[in-house]
Parts: sequence; C-alpha cells; structure tokens
Amino acid sequence: METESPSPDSLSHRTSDPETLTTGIEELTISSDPLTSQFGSLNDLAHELSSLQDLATRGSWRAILDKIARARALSLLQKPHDHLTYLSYNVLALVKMRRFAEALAELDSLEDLDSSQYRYESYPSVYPNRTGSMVPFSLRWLYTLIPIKMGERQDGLDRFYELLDFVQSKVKDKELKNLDASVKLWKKREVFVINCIIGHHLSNKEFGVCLTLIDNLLSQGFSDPALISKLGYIQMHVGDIEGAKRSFNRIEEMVKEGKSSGSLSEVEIKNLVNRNKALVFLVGKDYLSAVREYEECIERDNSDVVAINNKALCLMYLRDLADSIKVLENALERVPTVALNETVIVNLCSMYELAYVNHSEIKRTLNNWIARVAPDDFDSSSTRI
Amino acid sequence: MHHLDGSGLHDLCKNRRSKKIIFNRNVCLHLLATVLTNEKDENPLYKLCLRYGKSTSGDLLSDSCIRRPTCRPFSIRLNSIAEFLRQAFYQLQPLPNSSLRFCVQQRTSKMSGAQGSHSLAFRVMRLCRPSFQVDPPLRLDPVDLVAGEDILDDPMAAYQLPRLLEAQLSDDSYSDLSYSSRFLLHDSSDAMGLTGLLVLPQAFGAIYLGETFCSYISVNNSSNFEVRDVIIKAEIQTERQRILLLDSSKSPVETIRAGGRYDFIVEHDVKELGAHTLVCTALYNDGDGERKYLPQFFKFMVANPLSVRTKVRVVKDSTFLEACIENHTKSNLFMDQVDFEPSPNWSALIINADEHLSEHKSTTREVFKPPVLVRSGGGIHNFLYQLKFSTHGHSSPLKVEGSNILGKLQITWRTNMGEPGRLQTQQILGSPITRKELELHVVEMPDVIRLERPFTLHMRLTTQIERELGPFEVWMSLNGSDEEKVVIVNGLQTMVIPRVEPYGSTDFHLNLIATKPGVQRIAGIKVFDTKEKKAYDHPLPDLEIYVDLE
Repeated sequence: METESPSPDSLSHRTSDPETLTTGIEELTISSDPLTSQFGSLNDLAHELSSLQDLATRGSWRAILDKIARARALSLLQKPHDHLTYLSYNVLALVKMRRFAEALAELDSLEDLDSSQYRYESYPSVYPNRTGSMVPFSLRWLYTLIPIKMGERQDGLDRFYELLDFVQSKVKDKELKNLDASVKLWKKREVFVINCIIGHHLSNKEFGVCLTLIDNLLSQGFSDPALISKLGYIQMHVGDIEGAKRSFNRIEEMVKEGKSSGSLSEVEIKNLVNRNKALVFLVGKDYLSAVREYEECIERDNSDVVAINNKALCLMYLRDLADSIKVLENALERVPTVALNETVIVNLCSMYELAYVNHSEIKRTLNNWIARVAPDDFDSSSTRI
Repeated sequence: MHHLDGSGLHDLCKNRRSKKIIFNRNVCLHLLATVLTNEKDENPLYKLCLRYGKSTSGDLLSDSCIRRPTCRPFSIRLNSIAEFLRQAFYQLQPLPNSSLRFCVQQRTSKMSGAQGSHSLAFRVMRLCRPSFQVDPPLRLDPVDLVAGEDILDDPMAAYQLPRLLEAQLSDDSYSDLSYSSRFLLHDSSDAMGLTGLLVLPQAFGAIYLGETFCSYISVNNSSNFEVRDVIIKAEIQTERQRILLLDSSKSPVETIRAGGRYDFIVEHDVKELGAHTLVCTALYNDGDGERKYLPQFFKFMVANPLSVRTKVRVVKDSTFLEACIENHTKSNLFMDQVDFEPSPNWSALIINADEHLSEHKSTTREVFKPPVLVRSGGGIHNFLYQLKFSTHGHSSPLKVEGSNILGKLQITWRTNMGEPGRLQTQQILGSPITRKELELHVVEMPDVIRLERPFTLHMRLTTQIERELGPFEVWMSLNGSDEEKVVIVNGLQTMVIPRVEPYGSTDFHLNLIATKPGVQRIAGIKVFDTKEKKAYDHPLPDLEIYVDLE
C-alpha cells in the first residue's frame, strides 16, 4: 500500500487542474492558437459530451437514446464530428439494449466510413490544419460486432479479420509518417482487435487458434500479467493443468522481478496472483485452500467480484450451499454496481433452484431488485424466471 | 427426457403453449406411450418441438422450458397427470441423445397417491466442474468513442487529448457507484471476455465412461413441521449392479426443521455404459409421527467417449503399433497420457514427431507449449509406439507359446477445468509370431562394394528347431523373378554347409559380384537340406547394397 499512495495523489492532481498544467506550456509554444480550448474539457470535444459520458457510465442507455434523439431533433449538433460522436453513442446504446436491427440501420446511414465527407480536411474552416478520418474507431468495431450479435458469426469474424488488416495498415502508415502518438494508439487498437477475435473464437471453442493468437501477442512483447493469466485460463479450460501452472508461475516471476504489470495496479496484481493460485487449488479439488486464497483477495479489495463469485462456488462444492448463497447476496447488497453482473446472477439462481422449494418466488424478488438497480443493458434473462 | 418425472414434465407443463396438450389426460397417456417408442416420427413431443422450433425433444424438455420467460407456475391440477406419467415412466426406456439442464426434482408433496403427501423432497444437481464464463463484452477505450480515429495525428490533440481522457474518462476516475466497468476497458485483454468468473454447470450435459459422476443432493423439508429420524440412502443402479453411495442408516439425521435442508455430495466412477439411475430414498417421521418412505429416481445415460483403432506392423526386428484415438464426446479432449503398457515379453517406446515449430519463439515456448487437443465430435489423434521383443536370458530358445499379446493402452484425458477421464483398452494382439525353423543373417559386409569387383558376405545360418538339420546346399536362384539379376555368385555356384546342432548356427562366406552400379538388391538365396530334401525359399530377407563405380 505504501507505493500506492502517490498514485491517488497524482490522479487528483490531474483531475483538479488539467488546465493549469497544459496552459503553462501552451503559453510558451502555441498560446496564440485559438484552438487551445478545444481540449479543455469533455464538452469541448463534442456537444454536451460530458453528460453523455456520465449517462453511459451509469448504464442509463435509454436516457442516452432520448438525449441523442432530442439533440438531433433540435439541431443542436453543429459540427460534422458532433454527428459522428453522437451516432457512436447511439449505436453503442442500441447494441447494449440488444436492438441490433436498429443499430445496423443507424450504421448503414453512414454508408462508406472511408468517404471524404468523414475527413477533417474536407472542412478546412472548421478544422484548420487537421487531417485524417474523424470516424470514431468504435463505429468500425460495432460494425464488425453486430453480425456476431445477430447470429451471423462467420460474417462477423470475417469482418474482424478485415478490421485487423485495416488497423495494421494504419499502424504502418503512421509509422512511416512518424506520428508517434497515433502509432501508439493504433497499436493499442491492434491488440484490442486481436483480443476481441480471441474472445469470439473462444466462445466457439476454437481453442487452437486462441492459443496461437495469444502466443503471437506474447512473442511480440505484449506480455502483461493480465494476458498471461488469460492464457492460463484457456489452458485450464481445455484441461492442460500443467500448462496453466507454468503460465501462472511466469506471472509470479514477473512480479518478483518487479517487471511492468501492464495496466494493473499493485493491489490488482496481488489479487490476480492469489486468484490464480486459488484456481490451481480448485482444479485439484482442494476447495478449502481455494477459499482461503479468495478470502485474501477480498480482504485486500472487497469489490473483487471474481474472487467473491468464485469463493461462493467453492463453498458450494464444499457442500455449504447456505454460505455460498450468503456470499453472493452480501456482495450484491454491499457493492451492487460491481457485483451485479449476469454471471453472478446466473450462479445465484442456480443455487436458489437447488436450495429452495419456492425458488420461483425468491428469484422473482431478486428480479424485482435487479429491475430497480441494474443498468439498462442488464440481461434480465439471467434469472431464468 | 430421462427425467420426465421431475423438471422435464414439470417444465413442459409449465410451458403455457404446451399446456393444452398436456392438460388432456388421454393425450398424456398417448404421449407417454409414444414418447417411449423412440420413434421420432411418431413422437408427439418431437412434433411439438418442431412446432416450436426446437430440434430435439430433449431440448424442449430442458433448456427452453426453463429459460422461456413466458413460463407460468405449475398448475396444481396437472399434478395427478404428472405423477401418473412419472410412475409409469420408470418402467420404460429413455430417449437417446437427450440432455437435461438440471435433474432437479420438484416437490412431490400432494403428488404421491399411495404414500400420501411428503414433507421431504430431493433436489439434485449434477456437479461437474464449473467453467469459465466467456462473453466478449461491449467495453471499449473511451478515446474510440469520443473522438475521430485519426485525431492524434494532430500534434496538439496528441499532446492534450490523452491527458484529458485519462483525467476524465479512464475507468479509475469513476467511483464504485457507477457501472463504468460494464462500458470501459481496463486492460486491453478484457476485450476477450474471459474475466476469470466461474459459472456453475448449466446443464446435466453428457457423461462418459471413465469419468466421475458427481452430484449435489439436497433434501428439502417443504412442510410446516419438522421431520425426524431421517435415514437417507443414495445408490446408482445399472443393468448389472447396484452401488451404494451413501447410507445414513447407522446415524440417521435427527431432525430437519420446517423449510430446512440436508445436503450431501455423492461421487461415482463410471465404469459401465448405458442406462444408469441415481436412486435417492428417505425414510423419516413426518410432523404427525407417521413413518414415511420417499424414493426418487434420476436417470442418465453413459456413452462411450472415444474409440481406439490399432494397426500393427512388423519392420525387421521391431514391431510398430499405431493407435488412432477418435473423440466421440461433445468437448475437446486434452490427452493427458496415452501410455502403452507392454506385456512381459515386450518393451515399448513412444515415438513423437520432431518438434517442427520454429526456434525463434524459444522465449515463449517455455511458458506455452501447444497441447494435444483432440477435437470434439470425431477428431482424431495418432500415437506411434515402437515395440521390441525382449528375450529373457541370452541363449534361451526364441519360442513363444501361442502368445502374441502386445499389451494395452492406458488413456487418460482431461476436459473442462481438468475434469479427468480414464480408460484402458483390451489387450492388443500382434501379428502371430512364427519363428522360422531356419534363418540366414548377414553378419558382416564390406563398407564399399565396387562394380565388377568380387566381394564377400559373412553369413550365419541359424536353426530354431529341436533337431539337427543339414547338410545344406546354398545357391542363388536365377529364375523366378522378372528382373535381371545384378548381384550374382562369383565362383562356385553351389556351396555345401555341414550339419547344424539343434538351436545352433554355422558361419560361412558367400562370394558375390555386382554387375551394375547404384542401389542393388541381393535376392534369391536358397538353402536346401540335402538330408530332409527340404528347400527353404526365403531364409534371408531381401538386402539392398550400394554399388560404387570406382
């Protein structure tokens, strides 16, 4: 925890006075530029973006749809990129609400994403000195994703591989032009798309290609503990317990050597190590030791929902159905925004079905509670009522 | 369908759309009769499934009923029909290829006619290992949403925007009170949707020979009174035997309070194919002090997970065994060990293909080795073993009394989360070992053989018979083969070799000459026993030599 303390500090620093930080340097270099203010706050990026973003983090996707409809109806969106940003939120909200056909129609209204009308240089008066595509990358991603969500898996996967091609060519292009910040961003997108592809292969139990893709990522130097953990999970999933142990050991070595832990904080990495240890105990049917590891995680971070959920399952395998139910119910009560996810609810309902004769009533009570607190995109079929 | 008793029928009745079909008792009878004929075309359940767009009756009775949001509570009026069906059902065979989500037995109070109402009911869930939840999420990097994809080409944006986003949009900047984790990525690998969350088994699934059947059993007291002195038994019945898994008769459960439960977990290593029934019984005193007996049955089928085809080839003094393992299960099999256990006369060595993966990946290799995965539903993998016949003692007769047993394969595999399975094949037989009475071997031959220069083969004639043989004549036959003889005897065309002791041998030299360069074959050496007047046509396996020009 000692080393943790500087980070909240610096964070608050950043949040409190980003302007002083930037303007200080601006004065020396581009202080005369009239566009300085365009990155001062979220609302500088697009019309009332801050409130859109706020609604999204609260899971109020219906409200987002309303807000967008209103903004469009009242012609509040002035600049070309405002329309695209709003459209991104709109499509995302529709996909979140499982209204795929509408999402698709919205996307189709854009026609060709590579058209010149979506490039900054086509509007020199609005975007002086700026070039390139103003299409938010999420639109390309949603375009590839929607077929999969609509059950056309092969089409979606083809689109994902096309997207990967596109991203990789962008990386090359930016490298040639020495646009360092862009290169970094597009490389991040490349990793993101590969991870999406792995996830979709994984859903279809195509483990061989998943392992190869992860292996490629690791050999390209993207060896952060979160990714290696996932390699371990897949190995464990297919039954390669020894392989999984090797992967988990490598993470522990990385931690010992003090190597970069990627995007994970110190607490997160410690919990990751404990959770991985717990999994090894779990596949060895040593549920008691697994529970101990999970408890260590929960002690460190009481909103570690993976540890909470998995601990509850271990208790059930220890024939302690009553306590396993309690663990999940307590978590939902204590940290609803983190614990309320579909998997936890599916597990809790399975437990109810086994434990109670009147499980339909109990599940209905749970369902009512979910309806009150859950975000709009919550899949209520997880209670199986 | 194995559980028309419990959730199956119950849920079928719960389904509003099928209710009118079930409601009629006569239709029920008809249903029962035809469901169990295994004739798809005549099966009203199957037709029902087709009508509602489900492929098999098993599906209809399991997942869709339970998950269908339009399901309504079970009508009490249907209980008698359910019970009738339930009782009759057990005397008949289940439908093949069906799967059940849970075999959770619904309450049976008020259901049982002969017994009167029951306070207790069993609820059962197959407890295979949990699985990882996989669901690629709708989470993204905020910069991909709020700005154009090439925005960072602009130097000012590249300078200011990341800072703004990190301060205002990174997932760290939100408190626990938001659902930002459902929307924003934390690590790029989160996009995979493999969070590490485990999910309980959602279906009964298939169970295979060599696996372990594990079940969570909960006895619920749904009455308003406590029950006492509960004796619980659980056993597995197969066509051949009954195996007791749990018996609390020596220490009965003293009491189960109203609304209370008594839970236990049973395990059974599956060693038989076909129909299995888990029988749970409870003997207890109910609220009125009446002694009651509650039996409940849960059926499941055990299938064969894999088939093993073997091929035996003999090459020189080695025997090669090729085993082809085919996966008949619905999941990929991770082959943990496929070991050949040779019978006492043999030794075995597994032969692996060379590691043909490139060396440049050696840094990741130490962490990641691609596993041997046999694809679900018909995937195959071949294993090759080299077997050697090991003789005990040097001079002992090479006589094998009729036995050509090579040994057997021990196969262990793992599936989801390391769930193990284990099978052993029957004894694998080799090609019958026929030892020849008489054999010729080449003991030594020159390193270099030159064209049209004589050379000598040092040969040994061995007999493997309990009597003396010989004397012999050895020559090389010139006829019988279409190809022109290239290697021929130089000098005396027929050699005479003296008698040989029982199980004895004698050495001799054969002078030969080659008439063409290149790879040539020495063939057609004949041995004739002059005393017994018996010819040995192929005492020496064909031999290839390389003939040099100069």
